[in-house]
Amino acid sequence: MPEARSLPLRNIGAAIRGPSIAILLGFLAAAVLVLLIGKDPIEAADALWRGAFGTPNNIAGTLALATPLIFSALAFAVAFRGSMFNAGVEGQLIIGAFLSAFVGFSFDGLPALVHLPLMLAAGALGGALWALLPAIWRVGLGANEIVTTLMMNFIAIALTDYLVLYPFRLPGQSGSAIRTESINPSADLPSLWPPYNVTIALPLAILCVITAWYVLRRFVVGYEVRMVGSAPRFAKAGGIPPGRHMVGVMMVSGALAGLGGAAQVGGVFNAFVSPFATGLGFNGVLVALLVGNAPLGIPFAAVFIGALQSGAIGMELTTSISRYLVAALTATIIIFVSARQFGGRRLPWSTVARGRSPQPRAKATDPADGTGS
Amino acid sequence: MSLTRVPEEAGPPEPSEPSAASPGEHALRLEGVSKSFGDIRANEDVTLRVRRGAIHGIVGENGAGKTTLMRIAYGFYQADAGHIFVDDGPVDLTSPRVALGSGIAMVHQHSLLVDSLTVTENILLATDKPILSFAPAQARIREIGERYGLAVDPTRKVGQLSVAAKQRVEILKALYFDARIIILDEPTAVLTPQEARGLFAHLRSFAEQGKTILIITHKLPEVMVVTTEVSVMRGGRLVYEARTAETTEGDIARAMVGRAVALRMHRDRTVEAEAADSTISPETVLEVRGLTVADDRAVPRLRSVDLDVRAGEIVGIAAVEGNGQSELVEAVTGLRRPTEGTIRILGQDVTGSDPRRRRERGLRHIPEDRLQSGVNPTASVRENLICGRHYRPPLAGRWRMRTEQVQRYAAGLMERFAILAPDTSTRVGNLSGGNMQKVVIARELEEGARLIVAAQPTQGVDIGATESIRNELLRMRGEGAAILLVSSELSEIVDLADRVVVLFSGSVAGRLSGREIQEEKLGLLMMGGASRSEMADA
Repeated sequence: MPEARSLPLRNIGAAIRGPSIAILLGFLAAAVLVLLIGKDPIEAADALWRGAFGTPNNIAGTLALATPLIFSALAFAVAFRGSMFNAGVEGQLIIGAFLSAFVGFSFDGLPALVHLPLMLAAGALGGALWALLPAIWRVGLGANEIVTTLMMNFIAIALTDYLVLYPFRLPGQSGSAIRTESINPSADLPSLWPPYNVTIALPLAILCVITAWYVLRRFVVGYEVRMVGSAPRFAKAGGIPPGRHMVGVMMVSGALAGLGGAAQVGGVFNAFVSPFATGLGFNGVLVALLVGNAPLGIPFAAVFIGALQSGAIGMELTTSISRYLVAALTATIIIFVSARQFGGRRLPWSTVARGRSPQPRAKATDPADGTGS
Repeated sequence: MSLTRVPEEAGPPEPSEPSAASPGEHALRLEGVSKSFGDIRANEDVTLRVRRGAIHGIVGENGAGKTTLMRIAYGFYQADAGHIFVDDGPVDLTSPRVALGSGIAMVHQHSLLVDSLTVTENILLATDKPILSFAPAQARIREIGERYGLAVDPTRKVGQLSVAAKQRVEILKALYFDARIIILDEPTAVLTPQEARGLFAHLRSFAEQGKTILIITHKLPEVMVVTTEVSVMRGGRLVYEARTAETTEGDIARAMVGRAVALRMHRDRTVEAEAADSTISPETVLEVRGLTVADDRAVPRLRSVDLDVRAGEIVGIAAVEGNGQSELVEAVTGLRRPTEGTIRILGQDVTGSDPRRRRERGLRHIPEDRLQSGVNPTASVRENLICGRHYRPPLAGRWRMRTEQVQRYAAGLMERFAILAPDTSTRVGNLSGGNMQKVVIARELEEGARLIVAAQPTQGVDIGATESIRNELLRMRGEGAAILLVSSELSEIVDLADRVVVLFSGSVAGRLSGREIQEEKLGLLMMGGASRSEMADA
């Protein structure tokens, strides 16, 4: 399938069709929900649209919400293409954010040209290191990375909570949101669209997307990662070391997540705040799933999810429909995207190519005479 | 009942003339059955009539549609068109369970039994009646086992049984549910010749007791030995039917392929053996000493094995599945680390080297599990063909792949090895089994092969492709490659190998060379020598 995705235009149509039908069905389901609570779905959709794109302020809000999602979705997708299920994007993002904030407020008097990259690099490093441990456990000990990365999330949250509450506590703070001291202006990500929060993190994210896509497609290491990800035993027999690539993609994945955290610190909060991520990592997974982990689809899906989230706030204000409707909508879409078969029938929007054997199970039980047709 | 039919004609077979058939003679009839998967027509207007008490062979190449037809017959698939009759009564086989209710049972090629359950528990899995006690079922299984001579302890865990015993459990299961029609899918693929003969004896006694047997197979000698009727499928149609006594292997093969084929490679062993003795012994390419290999659960599967393969010779490894040959292959190819012993390729110790280092010394590997290790079914033909040399010039620079060279290289291999695919970007998973294996062969045998480890290179591959794969191996041997051939197909080893090493439960049970290489001898050694009787492992 990796190759199919890299084929020219005729496959782009097929790649877009799947998510589009799923999104449409998701909206239909949401409309039914709105009807059930006695509201007008057209009005809700209108409010949602205006909340996301109605004013420059709202557009900026949508883009600002989309930016970290691009990073976290790409982080998940890269790991996934290399056969690793990184459920710890959230934790890697938080660690990256804290480390970048630390670099942001600790260094004084550096020129922005040095301080900014340093801060971003600190974020990437933090995320990569946080992802390294589960990768090593997986390759060395066979520990399931889904479990370990998920657990590392809780450690990351608790650890940064402690750091913010004790060693880096600002005097005189109380309440539920605690923050470190602010980062120096030299580590502030410049806005592309003052006064809004749309910073250079957005083009940086898109640059990462394009780089990831190109490396996966054209580089030797990209080929090897794809082979390890889609057929690990084949890769091993062909002399590609799966373990090394599994550790590699996890570190890249963690670095991307950490960059996302750094972008939030440098572009939105100007400090590390606790609680920090509130679902950025998990929403990133949704974004990646929506486009089948294809890097080039991620920015679009991220803007879509970002628009839903920023639109939901507007919708709640103007129509009194709870913003959690959007959560239900997102969940429905994800279910439709993930569903490949229904009642034994292949769904029309499934992105799985139609092979000779329509029943994967039949194929699996019959490896020697695998054609069966 | 005159059934012989000209194999060349491609039109739908007219229903065979049941002139002599008295009503009710057929245990199973499939009339005008068609089945498509998307654009692929797996079965087209197939009419198959199976006489009660017959042992009816269904033969055909991969993709000929025989497996699909049998899956329709035992209710796994439902036909798009056509009708099925059991004992001349129409039936609607909506699931395997319904088919079992109609007296039709399937014995799968690869056992579908649950290893952690006992024989009785496995057999009762197929019923939906509440189970109060295993005792009556156990007694009945024992009773059936004794009546048919299928000795299996119903309280044993299936995981502890040999492959042949597992197959007996599957057959017992069919008998337990009073199946009158038993379908077997390549039942001898996992058996030694002795075990296969035991199976055939059972099948004959079932037939004598009025049961009807359908047997899917690739192996023509088996068809001649065991069946009473034979039907040949090609391209989704039934193209040839005959009474076995009235036909020949050559006719059947021609019907399968649509052209004449050489069934055996003819070699003059005397001349070759003398030649081998007289020349100075050529360079030893693979040298294995004291090799002990354990499986994933640290159970030793191979015990201090010594083995040499010299340039220009084929050394066959003959063993029943699970006697250490897989571990030997994995150790030699670098996929599994041995616990003891050394492996040298061209004199260099590679015991601790990874597969890439070994490949760079000339190792090539045709893996046994084609869909897992041999190819990446989700990747393109091109991506499959370059694996292993994808990182070096001319296919890649320091970092990047050279797209044009990759394309040219892959297209060249496709043409040279006659891989049938629309273009190099076709998904390998969409190819037939034979073409998949050609992709493997093309990748592994192209250039620079000094040591070829070929594990089951023709398993599940049709006659035409088998012929070309064997020729390819012989060509490489002629060019001075050392070939380690692991095959459960004894005729393949007999035909191709210069020397044979027989493995039994992880140790070398015998070494044969030249004219000593005969199927009977091999079979006996594979069973652990003459001391063990055929059914001793029940």
